[in-house]
Amino acid sequence: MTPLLILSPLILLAALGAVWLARPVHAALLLALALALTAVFYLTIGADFIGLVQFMVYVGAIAVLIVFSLLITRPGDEAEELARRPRSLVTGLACTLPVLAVLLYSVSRSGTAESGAADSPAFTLEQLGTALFTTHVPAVMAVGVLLTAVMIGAALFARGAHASSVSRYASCVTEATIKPPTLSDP
Amino acid sequence: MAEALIPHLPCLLWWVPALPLLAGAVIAFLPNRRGRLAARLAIGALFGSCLIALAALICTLAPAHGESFRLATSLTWFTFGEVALKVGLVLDPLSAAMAAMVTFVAFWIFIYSIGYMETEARFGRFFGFLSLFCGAMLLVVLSNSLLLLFMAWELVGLASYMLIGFYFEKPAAAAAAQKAFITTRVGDMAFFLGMIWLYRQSGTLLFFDDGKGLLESGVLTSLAGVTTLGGLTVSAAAALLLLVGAMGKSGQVPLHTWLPDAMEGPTPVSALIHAATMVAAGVFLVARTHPIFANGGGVTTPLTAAAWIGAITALYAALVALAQTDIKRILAYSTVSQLGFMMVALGTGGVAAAMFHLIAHAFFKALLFLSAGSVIHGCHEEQDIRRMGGLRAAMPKTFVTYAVGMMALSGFPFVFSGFWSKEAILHSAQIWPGGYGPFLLAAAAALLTAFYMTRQALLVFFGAPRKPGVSHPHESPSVMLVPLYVLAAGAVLLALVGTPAWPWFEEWIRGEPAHFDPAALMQPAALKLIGLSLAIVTLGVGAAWQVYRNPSSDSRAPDPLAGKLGGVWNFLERAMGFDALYEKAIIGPLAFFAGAIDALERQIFVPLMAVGESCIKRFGRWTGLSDEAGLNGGFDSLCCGLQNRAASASRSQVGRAQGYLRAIGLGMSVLLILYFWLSA
Amino acid sequence: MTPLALLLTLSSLLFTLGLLAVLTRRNAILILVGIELMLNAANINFIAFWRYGPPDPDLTGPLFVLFSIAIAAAEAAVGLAIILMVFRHTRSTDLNRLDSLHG
Repeated sequence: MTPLLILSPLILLAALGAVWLARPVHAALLLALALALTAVFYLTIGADFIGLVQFMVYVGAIAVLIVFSLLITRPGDEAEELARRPRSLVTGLACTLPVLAVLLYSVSRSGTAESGAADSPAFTLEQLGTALFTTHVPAVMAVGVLLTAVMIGAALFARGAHASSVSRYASCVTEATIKPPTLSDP
Repeated sequence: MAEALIPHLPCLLWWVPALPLLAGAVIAFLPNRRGRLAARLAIGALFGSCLIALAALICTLAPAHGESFRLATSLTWFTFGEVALKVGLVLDPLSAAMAAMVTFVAFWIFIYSIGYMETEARFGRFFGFLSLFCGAMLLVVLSNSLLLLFMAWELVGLASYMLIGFYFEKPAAAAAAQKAFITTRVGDMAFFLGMIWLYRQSGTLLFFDDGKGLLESGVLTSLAGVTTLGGLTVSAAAALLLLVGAMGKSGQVPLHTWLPDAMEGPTPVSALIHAATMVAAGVFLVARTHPIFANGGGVTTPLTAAAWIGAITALYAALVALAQTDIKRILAYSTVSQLGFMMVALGTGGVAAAMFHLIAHAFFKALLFLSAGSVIHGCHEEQDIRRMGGLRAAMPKTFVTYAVGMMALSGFPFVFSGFWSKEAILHSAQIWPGGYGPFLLAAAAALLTAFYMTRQALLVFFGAPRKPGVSHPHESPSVMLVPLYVLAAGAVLLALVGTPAWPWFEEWIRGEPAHFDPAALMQPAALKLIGLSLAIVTLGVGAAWQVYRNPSSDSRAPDPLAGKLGGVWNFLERAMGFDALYEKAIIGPLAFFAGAIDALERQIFVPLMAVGESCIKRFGRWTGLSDEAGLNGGFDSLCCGLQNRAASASRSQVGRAQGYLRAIGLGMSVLLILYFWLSA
Repeated sequence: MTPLALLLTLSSLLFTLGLLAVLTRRNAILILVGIELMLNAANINFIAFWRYGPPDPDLTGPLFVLFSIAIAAAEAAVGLAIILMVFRHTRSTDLNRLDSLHG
C-alpha cells in the first residue's frame, strides 16, 4: 500500500504536467515520466513482465516516437496556445468533469471493500507464454498482422506518394513477412 | 300469252318500281364525271319497267268473271304481337293504266333530258333523282296498301324537292323547293291523319285483301256504320282528310301556291313531275280510294267537296293564267286548272272520265312543257313571252308539236284527245245530281283555257320577233325532237279510245266489256254537249285571236287586255294575292316567332352562357392559382425550409475533431448519468 | 481506502486528465499524448483488478494489458505517421486547421 500511496500522486502530477504545460516537448517528457512511474508501479505490484513491457514499449518506443515527432514538426508558438487557454479550458472542463463525476460515482458504488491481498498472485513467464499461445493464439496472430500492417503503412507514409514503387514495395514486404506460423516445441 | 304471264305477275310486278329505284341507288354512288353511264342506267331501268308495265297492261285486258281484272299481292312487313302490318301491290286497270303511262312518258322525257341537260355539270345526279322519282311514283300507283302508298307519296315529294331545287345556287330555286315541300306537307299531315283513322276503325290498310280490304264491301259498310263529329261517317271524315292530302299534292286551291314556283326546276322536271305524274298522284289517290269517298251512296259530302274544290280551282287558275307572262308559268297554272277539271270529274262520279283526262293530260302537258323547253333552249334561256315572237319560221318542228299540244289542251274538236276527255268531264258534271255549279264553273274554265293557250301561241310563235337577241333562235337537236313527236302522236291517238262511240278506255277502267257504237254519238244529249264544247272552243280561240292578232313589236308594251281590264288585270297577274295572303297570315307570324326566339337566344341565353363560361374560367384560374400558391408553393416552401434548416444544421459540422470529441464526451456522460439515475 | 479503490480513483483521474488533453490541446501530437494517458489509465485499471480483485487464474488482466500495450504502440505509430504526412502538406500540426470536412 505504501508504494501505492507514494506513486499515485507522482503519476498524477506528471500527467497533469503533461496536460498542462504549454511547451510541447516538456509535456511529452512529462508523459514519459508518468509512463515510467506507471511501469514502476507495475513492478511493485508483482506484474514484472508487464512492467518491463511497459518500460520498453511505452517509454522506450512511444514516448520516444512522440518526442521525435515533436522535434520534426517543431511547434513553436506557445503564445497562441496560452492565449486560447482560458476559453478552451473552460469548455474542456465542462465536457470532462461530468465524465469524472460519473467515473467516481461508479467507483464509489462498486464493491471495492475487497481485500488488499497480501500475497501477490505472481505468475511465471512460462504460464503467460502458454496462455498466449494456446488459448489466445488468434489474438496474437491478429496483433501480428496489425503490427505488420502498421509497419508497412508507416513506412509508406514516411516514403511519400509514389504509386507504382509503393505498391511493389508493399507487395514484397507483405510476402516476406506474412508466413503461416509454426508452433515451436517448448 | 297473257295467261302464261299471269302466274308470274306477283313477282314480276315488284320489278316495275324496283328497277328505277335500284338505278337511282347505283347512280348515287357514281362519281359526277360518269354522267353518261348514269343516264344509260336510268333509261335502261325505266325501259325495263316500261316493258313489264305494258305486259301487265295486256294481262288486265281480259276481264275475268265479268268484273275487271284484279290481282292483289301482299306480304307481311312486320308484326307487333298478333297484329301484322302488310304491304303489297295490286294490278287492276287503274294501276296498269297509270303504270304504263308513267313509264312511257317518263322514258321519253328521259331521252329528251339527254339533250336538254347536256351542258349541266350535275348531269348524272339529275338522272339519279329522276330514277328515284320514277320508282317512287310507280310504287304509288301500284300499291295495294295505303301505308305503302303514303311512304311512296313522301318519297315522291322528296324527289320533287330535290329536283325543284336542282339549281340550288339560285336562291329562288331553293325557296321554291322549300315552299313546295312545306305546302304539300300540310296536305300530307291530313293524309296521315285520315290513314290512321281508317286503320283504327277497320284494322287494315290494304286496299284489296280477299274481302277484308279497305275498298271491299265488308270494311266499307262497317266504316259507314260509325258516325263521328258533325254527323259525318268515319268513311266520309277520313275521305275528307285524304282529299286534303290530294289537294296538297295536286295543287288545288288553297294549297296550289307551290306549283307555279316549282317552275324554277329544269324543264324536263316540270314536264315529268309537275305536269304529267306527281301532281296526278293526288287525283290518282282520290280515284283509288273512290269507294271510300262514295261510301253511303249518292252524293256524299267528300264527293261534293271534291267537285266544288275542283271547279273553283279550275276557274281560278284559268283566270290567273290569262295575265301571266312567263311561258312556263302559264303552263303551270294551266296544269292547276286541268287538275281542277279532274277533281270535278271525280267528285261528280266520273272516275273513268277523270282517269282518261289524266292520261291524256299527261301526254299533251308533257308535250307542251317539252316544247316550251325547246323554245327556251332555242331562245338562249329566254322565258318571257313578251320578248319572243315569230318563232314559227325559226323553229318549225317545235311549232308543230307545240301546236298539237295546244290544240289538245284547248279541246280542238274531234281529232285530239283533249276534246273528248273534257267533253266526258263536262258530261259527268252536267248529269250530277248534286248541283249545276261545278258544271258552269268548269265550262267557263274550259273557255278561258282555249283563250289563254291561243294567246300564248300567238305571242310566242306569230308576229314579228320582238327581242333583238332572239333574232337567231335555232331548232333543237333530234334527241329532243323525237320525244316530242312520240308524245304528240300519243296525244292524238288517245282520242281514239275515248270517244262516246267507242268508250274503250272508260269501260276497261270500269271492267265492262267494250262495245263499238257510233250511234252513241248521235244521241241528243251527246250532241248537245258536243255542240257546247265546240262553242266553247270557238269562242275562246276566236276571242284570243281578235285581241292578240297583231301583237305590238315593242316587248315593253302593256298587254292589250290590260287596258280593257285595268285593275282586275293586276289582281290576276298577282295570282289573286294568294301568295301575299299566305305571306302575311302565316309566314309573317312564323317569321316573327322565329325572330323572337332568335333574339331570346342571342340576348339572353348567349350572355348567360358567356357569364357561365366566365365564371368557370374564373374558377379555373382561381383553382390554378390556389394550386400554384397552396400546393406548389407550400411544397416548395417546405422544401426550402428544410433546405435552410439543413444548411443551418450542417453549419454545426465545423470540421474540427476536437469539437466532435467534446460533444461525444458530454453526450456519453449524460447518457451514463441517465443510466445511473434510472437504474437507481 | 482500499488499494483497489485508490487505484480506481487514480485511473479515473488519469483518464480524465487524458480526456482533458484530447479536448483542449491544439497540437495534434499532444492530443496523442492525451490518448496514451487514457490507455494507460485503462491498463492500470486492469492490473488493479487482477491484483486486488477476485482471484483470476486465467491471467486475464495481464494478458489484456499486454495486448493493449501492443495496440497502443501500433496506434501511436500510425497516428504519428499520419500527423507527419499532414504536417508535410499543411506545414502545421494545429488540429483546428484540418476542418475541410465541415458542413
